[in-house]
Amino acid sequence: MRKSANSVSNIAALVLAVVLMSCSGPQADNESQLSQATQHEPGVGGGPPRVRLITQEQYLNTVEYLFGPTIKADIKFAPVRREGGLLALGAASAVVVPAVLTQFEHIARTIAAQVVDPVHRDVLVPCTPVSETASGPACARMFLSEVGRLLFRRPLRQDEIQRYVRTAGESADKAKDFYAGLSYSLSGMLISPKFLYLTEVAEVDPAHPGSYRLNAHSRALRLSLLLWNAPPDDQLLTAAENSELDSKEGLSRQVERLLASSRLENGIRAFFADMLVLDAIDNLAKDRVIYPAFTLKVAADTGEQTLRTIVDHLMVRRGDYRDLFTTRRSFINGDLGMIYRLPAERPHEWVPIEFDSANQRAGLLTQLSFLTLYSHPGRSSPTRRGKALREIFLCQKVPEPPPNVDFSGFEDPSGEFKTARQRLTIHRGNPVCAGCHKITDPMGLALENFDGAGQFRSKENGELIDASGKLDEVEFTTPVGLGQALHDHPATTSCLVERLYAYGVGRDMEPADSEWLDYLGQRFAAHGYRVPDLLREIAESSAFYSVIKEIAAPVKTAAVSHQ
Amino acid sequence: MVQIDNTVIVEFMKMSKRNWFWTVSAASLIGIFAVVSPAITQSDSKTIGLVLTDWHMAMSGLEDTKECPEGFQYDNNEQWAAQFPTEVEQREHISKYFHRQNRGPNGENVWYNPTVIEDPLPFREVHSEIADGMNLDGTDDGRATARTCKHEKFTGVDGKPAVDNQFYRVFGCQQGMRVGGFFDEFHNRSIRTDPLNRILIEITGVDDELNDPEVLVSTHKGLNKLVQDPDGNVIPWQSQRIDKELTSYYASHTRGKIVDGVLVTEPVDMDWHHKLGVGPPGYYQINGMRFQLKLTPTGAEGLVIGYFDIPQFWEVYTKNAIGADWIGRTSGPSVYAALVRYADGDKDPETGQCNAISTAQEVGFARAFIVHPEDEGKSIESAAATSPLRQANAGN
Repeated sequence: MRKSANSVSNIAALVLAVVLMSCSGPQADNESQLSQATQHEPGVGGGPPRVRLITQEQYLNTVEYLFGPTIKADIKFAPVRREGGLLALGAASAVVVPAVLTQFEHIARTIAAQVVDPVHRDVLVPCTPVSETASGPACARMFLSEVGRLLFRRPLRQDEIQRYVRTAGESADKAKDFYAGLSYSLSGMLISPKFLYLTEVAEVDPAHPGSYRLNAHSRALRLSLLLWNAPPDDQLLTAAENSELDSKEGLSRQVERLLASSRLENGIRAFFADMLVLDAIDNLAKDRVIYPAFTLKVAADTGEQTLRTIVDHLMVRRGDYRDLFTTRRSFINGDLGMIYRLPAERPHEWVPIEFDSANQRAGLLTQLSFLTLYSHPGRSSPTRRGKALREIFLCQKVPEPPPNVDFSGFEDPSGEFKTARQRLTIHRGNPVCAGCHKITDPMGLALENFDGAGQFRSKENGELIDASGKLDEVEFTTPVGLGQALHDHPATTSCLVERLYAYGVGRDMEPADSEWLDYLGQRFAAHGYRVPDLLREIAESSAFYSVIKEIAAPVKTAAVSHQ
Repeated sequence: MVQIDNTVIVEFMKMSKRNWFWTVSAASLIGIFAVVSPAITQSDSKTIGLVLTDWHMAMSGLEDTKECPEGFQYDNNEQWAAQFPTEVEQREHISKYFHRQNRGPNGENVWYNPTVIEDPLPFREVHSEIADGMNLDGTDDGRATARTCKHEKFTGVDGKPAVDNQFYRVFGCQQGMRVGGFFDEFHNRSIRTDPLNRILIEITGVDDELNDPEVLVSTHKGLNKLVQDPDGNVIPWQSQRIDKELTSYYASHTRGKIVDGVLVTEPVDMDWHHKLGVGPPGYYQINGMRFQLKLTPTGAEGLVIGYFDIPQFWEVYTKNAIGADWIGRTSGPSVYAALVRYADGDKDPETGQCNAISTAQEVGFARAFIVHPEDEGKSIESAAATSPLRQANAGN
């Protein structure tokens, strides 16, 4: 079910969607599907061009690409609002308030100072000034025009170049230091809205008069953000400037280049960190008396474990996306080993592991990132886990609990109810609560073999845990069975398609996108649910770059008086 | 049941290199092994890994006033004050020999030369019939044997008769060494923070954690830090790599059995290395060492029992002389004299003097995963071998 395709995102719709999904027949084999899948893209109107605030990772990726890994940028961006299940969508409505601008300015000055310091200037500044104690317009122009092109993701206009060169010269003369002037202008670029906001610009689509598409630089930007979570590199910008992206072959060449790059890992990690809400780990805390092994280090490592699993499975092994919910492969280090009760051959490093068949761990649902994020600080929560499963992996919306929930039955201190299943059974006796809990609990209870810190347990308060459950109409008896049910659920793959496409275009999906998403889903299936192939389908499609007529309004931010 | 190979037998021989008695015993065991278990495969049995977290002198469980009715031992300052009772004498001594420990006839440090004087104040020892430990000499009354000297037996804390723990008799009234004393706290902090104290026990061939008639027990040196919770408790299930460089100094191998969840090992000689705070590293030479450990779901607790070799013990003890003096709260000449007086093991057949003292130390362990050097990186290699990238490259 696609949330935005139906504004009535309630239980009734959920049940309807589940019924409809359960009517899908068995999947044909991949080859057959590839030939049968729709070969022509449906027409898509797209959404308006987007203006997105650069994310922390995109900022860092930019700095590293331009200036190398030895330039340190110790930054922590304020979180943006999650919309449609993604931070990437919230970035389109984020604004820079004066306090944040101050932080950006501090970071910009720090970075610029490092770039021109004696250690880096010989490598990063492509020329030597006539004098190091005065302005040097020729060298400044050479440096600033090239850096500006990569920061602003388009060539600078002559008036822009002249302004930055003049600013650098005036500062250099005042400070009697050419590099101080250069640093001043560079920091001005780094806090310019043209850098901090990823702005898309539309143009008339020559192939479809009356329709619009992104202009070449904006196409390069959208493509690069999707695959690398970074602005375009020099080659991609050059391709945009040479009209290479206008042809199917030219676009395909660039897509293949980006897909083959090791920087694709940045893109994969960024998308799944967003989709899986791994940013919430920053605020994850457990009761240290109940879960002493769940240290701050363990908390921080839970997200990394999940991302390593995903990258290894999807990129290195080119695995089927659905198998992420059943795979027994993962990675641990010594800290996570304390929770998983497994040895780490090199405790201070990440090492691959494979859970054996006797282990109840298989797939992302049994990893600490999911189990601990959707638990209470001192106990597990079948309800939270079930709700998260539906919302994150099936793109279904579970209503928030009413404000006046009566927890007295659930939190009965008498000890009569030893397991969560028993307590929830009592809780569901309240008809007000029963509706939602029926949607969440049957899956969450299947994960009760893992406590609030994600540690395996066979008993709760001395009573054997019953880990049976049901996902829609599919029943299972173990956590591994739940993973298999999610693997087989038709909404699992359609949800990924929806999320990935929304992430790429920076907007929530609407009913008008349904046909396109169905098409993408068929292509995804035809490719054996391999995510790099899905990325290629999206990146090479016309739809990905199509926009509607609404042109982005000029960015209004706090004044940048620096320039 | 344990299946062992020749490597273990060789190690077994190494372990008893110092003591003829244990060497003979070990040789006998090897013979038994050679007959019973000629070769050697690992069954479906499992391994229990443990990492040392606590070390305390095993005591009687009585209140101080009962076991130390005379009070705690006099420390060096008090002995010095008694030796130089007037202010003039004290001033003269310090101006001439600089330090209160240098109170030998010629200014010798009395920790390094404990026999050059006799302390003026009496030595205070344990007056109790109860102590933790084990009957080590096999006698009921502590009479002298060919290998042991005459000594007085204790009754165990659990009521067992004929317990040998003369170390406790000597050190039980030393305030700093007692559980909770300054020395004890300092030592235990070092165990958790200093990698030289990272002692591992590996129990292999375990078929049943409650009752197993035969398991193999080895000690190693670990390499990794101990992760503690905010209250300072060591978190179980940490991975500990064996320190390739130093583990041979810590190594021992012996057999044992598990009875009602308690591991009891056969005697083996071991150098129990330790480092105390900023002091220099050293080791206790424990002859005929045995473990008596109650296995718990997250670790083990119990006793390390055996005979401390006195010269080696004194070597370690005096390396931390200032600490022993100040935070241990005792005096070198008195303690050394008591150690010699109560020595009950490793009798010199010519002089009849014993050179080792029976002891029991209370220890705690957390369960851990022990990673052998040969296993490091195995999973990485294994994963790489199945990686499509590796296979693609191999195809090229």
